Amino acid sequence: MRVKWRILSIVCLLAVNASTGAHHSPAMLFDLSQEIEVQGVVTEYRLGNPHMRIYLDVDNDGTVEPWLAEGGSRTVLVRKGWDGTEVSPGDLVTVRGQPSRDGSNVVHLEYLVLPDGTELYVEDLNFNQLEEIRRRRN
Amino acid sequence: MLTRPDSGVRPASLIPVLLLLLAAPLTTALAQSDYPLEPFLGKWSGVFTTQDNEFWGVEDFICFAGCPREVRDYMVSLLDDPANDDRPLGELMGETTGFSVAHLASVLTPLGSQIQQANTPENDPKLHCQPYGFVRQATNPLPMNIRRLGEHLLIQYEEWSLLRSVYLDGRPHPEYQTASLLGHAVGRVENGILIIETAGVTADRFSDSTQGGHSSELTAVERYSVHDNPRRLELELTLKDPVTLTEPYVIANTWLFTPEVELIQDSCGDLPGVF
Repeated sequence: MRVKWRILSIVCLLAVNASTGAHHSPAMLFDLSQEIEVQGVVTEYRLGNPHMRIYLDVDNDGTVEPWLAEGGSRTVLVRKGWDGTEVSPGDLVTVRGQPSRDGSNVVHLEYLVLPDGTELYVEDLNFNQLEEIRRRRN
Repeated sequence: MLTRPDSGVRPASLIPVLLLLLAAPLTTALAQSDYPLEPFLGKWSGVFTTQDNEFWGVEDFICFAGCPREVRDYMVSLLDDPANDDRPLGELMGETTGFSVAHLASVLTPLGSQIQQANTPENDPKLHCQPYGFVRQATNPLPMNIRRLGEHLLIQYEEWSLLRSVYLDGRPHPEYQTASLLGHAVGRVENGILIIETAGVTADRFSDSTQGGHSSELTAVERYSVHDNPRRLELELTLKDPVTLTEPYVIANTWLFTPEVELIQDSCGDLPGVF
């Protein structure tokens, strides 16, 4: 199955789509001026410490590339009902978030789209809520 | 036959006993409230599990794992500047993170700088189930439970499910000790502030975001204070390390009182799909 990936430059939409990361600020590791969407086949899923991770095989125009999508803190997700069975190896999923600053195949994961189309928010903090707090502040 | 005219118990003699019995719960309560560590006991949670609380400002979220006051103030200055009103929040956070890295770099020794540059997210031992060390645990935004253990304190951290003893009997740090993940901690209360001094900590990173590191010569002083509206625990953590720091480095963080929160057992291997 062909899997495609695309990168969307959305500097102006950053306020809506950026997130604050888990135990490290994503601003250090990820380019918050971009959003990427990657579709791939799960090779490994870890609801582990300190962040959840999904490893993917992504077909980029015939070349299979290994990607890593890193999401929120394990216990934060467990508190929301995650149990480590959300995806399984072989599942075709879509991940959406910010790309790494160094160009490596890593996604700062915000949204995970499951094979049945269900979209899950994966980050510790809700960035839309932070924008609302900012608006109230101003 | 010898008789005792007062062998029976007069009702009036029971009054002091009854008063004592009635007063016992009250005196117990008073004794508990007089316990200087009482305000610090209980479960406390950072922004990750209390994001909905209106106490938090935007600047608190950039410092979710603790940061120097200067970094928080820098974020506030960006938010206060009308010129930034149209800039995305993520962009301001990125600029603040850059300031944070530079702020730390300004107090690093040459070796400290080398360590900072060598530390990368990819080579962080946490990715291989190596729990956070003392600094990253003490500033951790996930819930913690501070409990009384006899005359000492036991701090239970949700992340990695680590336990930390704080000795309160006045003992010094051991003269000879093997460095450990959380080190050796002794504490006391002064003017309502819980002060914990820690030494004997294994060399480790003290920040995910700045990638700073410390040696096993680190000494640390935590100052915890409890405030109301909402009830919260504020920490000022001062790090001194002659190997990596040219001057004390101070990190602050805040947790809200969350008695309703149940700490989750945490490890790398107790759920399907985990490490």
